[in-house]
Amino acid sequence: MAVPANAAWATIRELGGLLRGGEYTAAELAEFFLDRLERLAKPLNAVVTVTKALALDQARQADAELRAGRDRGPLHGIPYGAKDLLATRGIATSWGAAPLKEQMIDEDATVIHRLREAGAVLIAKLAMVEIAGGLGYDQAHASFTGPGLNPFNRQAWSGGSSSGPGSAVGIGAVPFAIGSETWGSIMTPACYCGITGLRPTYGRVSRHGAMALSWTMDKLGPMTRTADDCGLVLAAIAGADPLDPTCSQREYSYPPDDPHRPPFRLAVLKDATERVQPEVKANYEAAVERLAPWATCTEIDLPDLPYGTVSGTIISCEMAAAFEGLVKSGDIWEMTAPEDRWGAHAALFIPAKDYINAQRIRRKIQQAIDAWLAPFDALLAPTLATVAGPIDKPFSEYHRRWGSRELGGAENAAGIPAITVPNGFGERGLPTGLKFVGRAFDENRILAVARKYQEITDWHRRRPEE
Amino acid sequence: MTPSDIHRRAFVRCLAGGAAGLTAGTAASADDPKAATADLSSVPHIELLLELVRRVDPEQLQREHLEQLHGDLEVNLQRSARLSAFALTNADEPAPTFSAWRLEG
Repeated sequence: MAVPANAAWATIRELGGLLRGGEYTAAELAEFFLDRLERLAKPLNAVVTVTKALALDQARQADAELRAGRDRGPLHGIPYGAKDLLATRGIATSWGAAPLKEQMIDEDATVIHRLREAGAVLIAKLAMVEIAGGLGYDQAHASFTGPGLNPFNRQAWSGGSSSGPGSAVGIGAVPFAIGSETWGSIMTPACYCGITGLRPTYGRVSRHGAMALSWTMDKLGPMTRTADDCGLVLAAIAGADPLDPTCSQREYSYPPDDPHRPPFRLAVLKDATERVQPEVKANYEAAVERLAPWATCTEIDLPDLPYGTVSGTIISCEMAAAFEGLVKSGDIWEMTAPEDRWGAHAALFIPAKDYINAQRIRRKIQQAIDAWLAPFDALLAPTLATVAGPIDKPFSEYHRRWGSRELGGAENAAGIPAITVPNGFGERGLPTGLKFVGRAFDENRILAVARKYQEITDWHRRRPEE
Repeated sequence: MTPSDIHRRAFVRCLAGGAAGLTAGTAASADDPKAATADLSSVPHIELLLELVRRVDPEQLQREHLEQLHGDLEVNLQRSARLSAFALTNADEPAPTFSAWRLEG
């Protein structure tokens, strides 16, 4: 049976419902999205490898299991894409870097393994900024797959470093994708591409088999159409892993046994719209107003701590250790963005005491941020100060006039979760985003608020032209 | 010419003098081993660091790269100063704590 065209924009529950109702098979669903990957995601430079043979094998197995009465849960038979920093046995894992295009890692990342166990169907390895942006890129053209293009405006950037997951979900070529964030790499492309992205608490999801940019800051998370989809995917990938000693032993379940319901206790960040684009400000204020009947809102100010300094120092030092070999082998000179070819050199000489002091101050940041957020279900803020910049303009030039408070640095230094949802459009027809930030391991609280927002708005259902 | 260029040239001269002294046993270093050190002490910290960075990849790193790396180093030094200025006590431990480990089973 043919897969209806609107399946491209369906949620995971909707897709699963039609699959179980016999509207189509998992193999047909995989073929449907494989076709969209080729036609729509590849022109956005969103794809590294289409895993067609594997996908059809996994989909046929999903069909056989359903026929035999075995249902692995909500992701059973649902296609997805993985950022190309997740190891996949038998399929190259490039980390977005030209000199590593053919890199083979002889195992599956834990996340890939868990999604297979959940019945999901891997249909593509998706594009990313080289080395997840850790070399300091200042332009869209920083991957051997070309600049990530925005589904809503092909002259604009998709965001990074999870550029392929952002634009492939945004154009309806995969129902969901797995991205990674060290500082901004899920939130940025999800916001720019008009999708929903969840950055889980540090340690919630195993990093085993994922490229390490920064061992103490890297997080893996879902990029989807809705907050509910994020919860479903997170439930499949979260949990302790003996292969990742930093992975938390805390259990995660979704939907939660005791869901959080309105009225929500929301905090809004003081001066959150001070240096944001006018449309970002207007859309944020409208979103706060829209949520007001379901919440109490309290304005709070970010504690004064050196978030950017701490996060920047930690990432630089861990990156320098992780990629010293790439620098010293000379392979780094094959990077796509010129500035990435020497972007790691200076970090080789940061003194050890700076790294250790950053980690000492980080603990104070964690304690201060936890106390700051404790009275609330979520903190609201614009996800980013701007919409996506033009692909031919350096970031430093486009973003010169705008800037968010140091919230992103604070969130990532503290390792706390956040979710971004679309909340309107700004200049050049590009999406803006609203984020909900929560305490460590409070994913279900911020998901509850984000779900409510998506119940009362339809921004997440807006589609780009194909 | 930028101030950085001036410092870099002074630094290179300084290194050249020191190296010659060490290899040829010139008066500059043999008679007064502190001479080279004294000259180096006038070179700004950032120029010393820049020379270390340059030595990672002397064939590839050109003037324009070094100028950008100079900026990166400035950022690192500013961060360093800010981290050092933060009030920490001896009891303030780093966030990720080391723990003993053994393979179970």
